[in-house]
Amino acid sequence: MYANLLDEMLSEQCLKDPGIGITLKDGTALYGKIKDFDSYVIILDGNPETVIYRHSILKLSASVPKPAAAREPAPVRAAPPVRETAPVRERTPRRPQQRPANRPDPRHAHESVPQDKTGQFNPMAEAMQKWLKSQKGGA
Amino acid sequence: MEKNELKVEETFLQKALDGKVQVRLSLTNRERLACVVSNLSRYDINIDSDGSVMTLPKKEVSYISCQQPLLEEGFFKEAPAADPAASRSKVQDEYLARFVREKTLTLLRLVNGDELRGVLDGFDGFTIALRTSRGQVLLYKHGLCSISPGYRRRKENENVR
Repeated sequence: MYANLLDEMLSEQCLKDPGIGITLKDGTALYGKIKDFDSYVIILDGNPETVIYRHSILKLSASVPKPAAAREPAPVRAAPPVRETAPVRERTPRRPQQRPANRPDPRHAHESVPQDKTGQFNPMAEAMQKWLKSQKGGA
Repeated sequence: MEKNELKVEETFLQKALDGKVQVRLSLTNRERLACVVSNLSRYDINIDSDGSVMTLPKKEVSYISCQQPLLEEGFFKEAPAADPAASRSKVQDEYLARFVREKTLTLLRLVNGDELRGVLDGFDGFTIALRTSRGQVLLYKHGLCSISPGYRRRKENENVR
């Protein structure tokens, strides 16, 4: 029968476990294997060995993010679609792009350009407007 | 229960009191006081700081430092060796004794975030005597977080006393 849970945890788990994370009251987080302990201190193995006073322990946990090398591979899941990063191309000076033949020059955008609802140049609309104008002029 | 024959704390404070030595106190809230010890009891210290007398519970004191060493090396040598069987904290005594014997430069982290670097002179049940570049330090174990040997790179916001 142990006097407290910490003693139990230390003697049963930590002495054989690969490592334990300890957060101290001054904010330092340590991770290592417990080499020895008594009722007032814990000796944390490592280089160098550290004597930790138990009155300064804030948190003691067995499940600590292990160093990346020691981490076990993640369980296999349905692979998410691999998104490859686009190869970085060398930047070339921007050339004036060639517009499609039926696309009006944006320099004349202030002139009323016949456009349909989608905003695209529409020769049919142009013809219709011309016809309307001629009708009005005639009337 | 007698853990250790050395009476580091008692002797240090008594010498500070008798000699009216100017000491620096660091409290657990990181406050620092330059003062003279004016009276002692088991759990409290009376200090005289710039003419104002105040009483401090020892448990709120982190460490007491003094420019000139109050405890000479002879004090630690003359004292009889601690009886390991009487110790309640064998592992601690073993490691502290090793630091003292090997004169390791240790890094001591305190609960209030301070760090001290020095060589351990000796220890008793509740305190550790330490030799630093700023003189001798009587460090209460209740203010101590961890002890580890070796150097560490300096941080910007760190203040070593």
